[in-house]
Amino acid sequence: MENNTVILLVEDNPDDVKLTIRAFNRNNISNELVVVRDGAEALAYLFAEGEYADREATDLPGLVLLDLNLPKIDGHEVLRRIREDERTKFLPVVILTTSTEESDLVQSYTNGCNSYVQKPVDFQQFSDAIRQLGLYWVVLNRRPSM
Amino acid sequence: MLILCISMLLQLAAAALAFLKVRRLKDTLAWLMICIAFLLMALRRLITLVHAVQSDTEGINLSAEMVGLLISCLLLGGGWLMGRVFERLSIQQEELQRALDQRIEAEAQLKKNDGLLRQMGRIAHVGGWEFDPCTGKGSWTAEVAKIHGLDPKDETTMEKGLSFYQGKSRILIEQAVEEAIKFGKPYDLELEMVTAKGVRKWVRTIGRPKMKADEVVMVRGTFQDITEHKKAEERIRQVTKRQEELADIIEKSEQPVGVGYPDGRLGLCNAAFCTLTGYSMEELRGIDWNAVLTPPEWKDREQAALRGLSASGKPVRYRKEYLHKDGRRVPIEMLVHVCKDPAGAVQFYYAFITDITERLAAENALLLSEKRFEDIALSSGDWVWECDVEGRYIFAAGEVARITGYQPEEIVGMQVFELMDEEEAERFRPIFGEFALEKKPMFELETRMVSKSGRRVYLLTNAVPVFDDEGELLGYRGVDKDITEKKHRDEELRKYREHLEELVEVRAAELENLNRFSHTILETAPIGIVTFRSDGQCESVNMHMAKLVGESREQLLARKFHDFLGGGTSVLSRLAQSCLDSGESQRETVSLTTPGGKEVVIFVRFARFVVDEHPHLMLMANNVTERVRSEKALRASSLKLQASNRELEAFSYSVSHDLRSPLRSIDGFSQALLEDYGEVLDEEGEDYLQRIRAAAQRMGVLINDLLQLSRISRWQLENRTVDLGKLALQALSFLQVQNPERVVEIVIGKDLEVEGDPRLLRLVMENLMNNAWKFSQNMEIAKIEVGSARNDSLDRPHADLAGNRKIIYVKDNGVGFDMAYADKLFGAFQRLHTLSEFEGTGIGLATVIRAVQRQGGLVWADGRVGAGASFYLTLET
Repeated sequence: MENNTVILLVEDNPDDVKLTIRAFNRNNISNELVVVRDGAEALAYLFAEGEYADREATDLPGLVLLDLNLPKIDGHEVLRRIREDERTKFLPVVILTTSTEESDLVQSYTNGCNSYVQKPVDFQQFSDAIRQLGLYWVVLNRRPSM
Repeated sequence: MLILCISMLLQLAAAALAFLKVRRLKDTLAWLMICIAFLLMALRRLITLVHAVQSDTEGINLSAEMVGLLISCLLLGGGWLMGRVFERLSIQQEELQRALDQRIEAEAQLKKNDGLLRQMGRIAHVGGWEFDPCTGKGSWTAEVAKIHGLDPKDETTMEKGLSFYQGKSRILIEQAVEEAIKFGKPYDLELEMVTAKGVRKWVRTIGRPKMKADEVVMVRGTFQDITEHKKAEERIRQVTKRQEELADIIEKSEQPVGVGYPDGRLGLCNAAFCTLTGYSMEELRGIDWNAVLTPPEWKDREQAALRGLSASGKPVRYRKEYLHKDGRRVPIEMLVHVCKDPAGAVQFYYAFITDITERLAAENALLLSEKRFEDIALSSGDWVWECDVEGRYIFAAGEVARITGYQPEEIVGMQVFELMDEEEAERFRPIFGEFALEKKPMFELETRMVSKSGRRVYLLTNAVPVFDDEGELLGYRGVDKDITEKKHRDEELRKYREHLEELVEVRAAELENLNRFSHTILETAPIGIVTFRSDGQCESVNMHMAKLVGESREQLLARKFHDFLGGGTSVLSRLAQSCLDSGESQRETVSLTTPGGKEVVIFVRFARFVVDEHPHLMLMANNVTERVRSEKALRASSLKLQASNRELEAFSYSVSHDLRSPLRSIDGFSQALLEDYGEVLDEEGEDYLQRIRAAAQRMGVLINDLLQLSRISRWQLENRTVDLGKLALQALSFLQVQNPERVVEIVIGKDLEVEGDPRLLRLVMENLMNNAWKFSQNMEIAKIEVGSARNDSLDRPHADLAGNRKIIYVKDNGVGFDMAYADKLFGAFQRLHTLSEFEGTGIGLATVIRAVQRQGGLVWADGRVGAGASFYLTLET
């Protein structure tokens, strides 16, 4: 995957957004990071609707980092819709959440997430997790071309 | 001289002629004298001649000699002629004599013939007759008269002769006689006549008309009594017919018949024989029966049989085989007779041959069938027998020895009564006699016998009468079944029945008690019971029911179902009907108002029961008003509990999400501050930030552990076999990876499988291992041991706590603890060490105790400061 591939971060907590961006920077991941604040915005971006209507719908991000606890449409629903749609069904989606609930894990995998990562409280660990995610999903992983 | 010589020669010739006549004619003497006379004359001439020669020739008288010569010539000629005459005469005389002789002879013959004829007539009953057709007068020989039964002297006529015939014979003879007279036609008839003495006879009469100038002047004939002849003829005819029939029968018979000669030739054979052997008549003629028809292995046997036959002359019967033309073997039975010549030598054999292929098959089948029946009879465990009319055994087989103790050969000859004791014999003798008299079969007749060893044997007899060809009873044939055991059982049963009757009495008394008891129970039971007849009439009601309804028992007994329990709601009626119809008990909880005006909730059960074939209905009622009320309250609180549980879940969820996010921010930005603005902070400032970070991280851990603890109560439990040793090893491996520098001796014992929830048990073992790992960290050689034990291998007080259950223990050689604080050990956030000594939230053991208790188990600890800690747990209840 090219270095200019877009990574979509779906996160409502501005602290977490900032920390995530910091973790990306610290790990020299130079891909463009698009941040959306809730589930509805995430879907609008992906399907080029509403405020993102002038966006090229086929120009999909290389990776979606999805929080579960989101305003308007929660992360489970967003994931379900991504997998339902022909255009986005192969899109790599990594659940990045604070939740350690078993039910969230089971539901996320049921809906077809590619990975489930719990955000550690320790920033150092969080930063390591981000680095590994970037390395794996942006550099190593291959997916079918749409 | 010459004349003398000629004369002498002539006289000699005459003498020779006469001599010839002597030989040929009968008058020998006469001719002999003539012959001598001539010889003498010739002699005289010779003397004269000699004289002449001696003296001279002058002495001869020539003329006299000439005359002498002439006389000699005449004599010779006369002699010859006379000889001829005499000869002819002699022949005539001979012929005459011969004719005379013939005549005499013929007469004698005639006489003899006449005698013979008469004799023959008498013997052959034959005679002659004649009659004159003009006058009708006739005559017959004595024999003919005799045949007619008349006196030979009696006169006869044609009419008279015909009068002895009647019917068809009369017509035949009259016609024949008429034709003989008219046309001179001879006849030859065999006729039946009746003699003057009234005897029927067969006669043959042959008539020959004598013609003179085309006219019949006489009819002559013979008459013969052929009655005997006829009879003989009839006999011969019958014999012949019989022979022909016999021959025909033999020829057409299906029974092969053949004649064989000792030299191997075959004589007469019939068609069946050809069919049997497969050869045609022609082929059989050229066949040696011994060489071709008889298979080699039969030859000796056959020859032996035939030798026996030849010696005795009596027909022999034997079996052998024939080689059929097509090569197969035909089993046959031979019945061979012998035919001998007068000298006693065998002329031929004749045999009746039977193809016994089917018979052999049938015999085999019969044998098989007999064997089968025998097997069945003998394997039935019964005794099979046959006896005569007097009950004397003539056959015994099967289990006779087992049943009676006697061998079959011992039994045979014994009378059935001999096998019985006197009493039984007395009883059975007339019974047997009656059966034999009426010739009826014996069906399931019980008898009692005494075995050889003296044991009493009871038998069940089934038998059928056996008859001879005339229908006379010969005896019986039957089967005896040993029913001794059954008898004993019956006896036991009888005793048992008697005992049972006693028991019944006792039982009745017991029942009476029970009844009283039941009544008491019924009366005192805290449940309303009422019974109704099928017409709805109340039959009985107990105290509790009266109390429940709020009416007296008498009031209730007067009620019917439809006005029972406040009129009987539609629900109750429906249940009652359904119970009566289906027989299945019905139950329902109903709210109703009693006749006494009470609002009650009752649990009712309907049951159908039958008394004297009448269906009854039983209604059992429990007043559940109070219970329903408390159940309602319980349900309400349970709902509340569920609601709070849901709230708790939501709370945990938000804790897991929302409480940790700020912590991450605190930690993250503290780190950012340290990294980005480290140079503007002094050492103390950096320390503060580090402390902020540590506190945030510690709170993250606390939140995690608390969430874990709260989850233990919410998880759905499963029950499986779980190997705690394996879980312990997994946890320890993880810890070893985290702390590779640690040297820990690990001992995992046996029999560590328990039944429980795998997730909870994993938590339990992880926490226990964490604890042991953590508190043994200061030991030079740390030791962690996981094992199992039962109370017999445990010290008090653990043995008491364990009871009978399997105990899993985890021991370490770490810092241990003071038992004085043992009660604090399992409380949440309870710690016995400072954080600087050992890290931890104080939630681990709380998690352990909650996880174990959730599964109904028990956990406790034992320890001493500096001497390690032991944790014991059991999941068995």
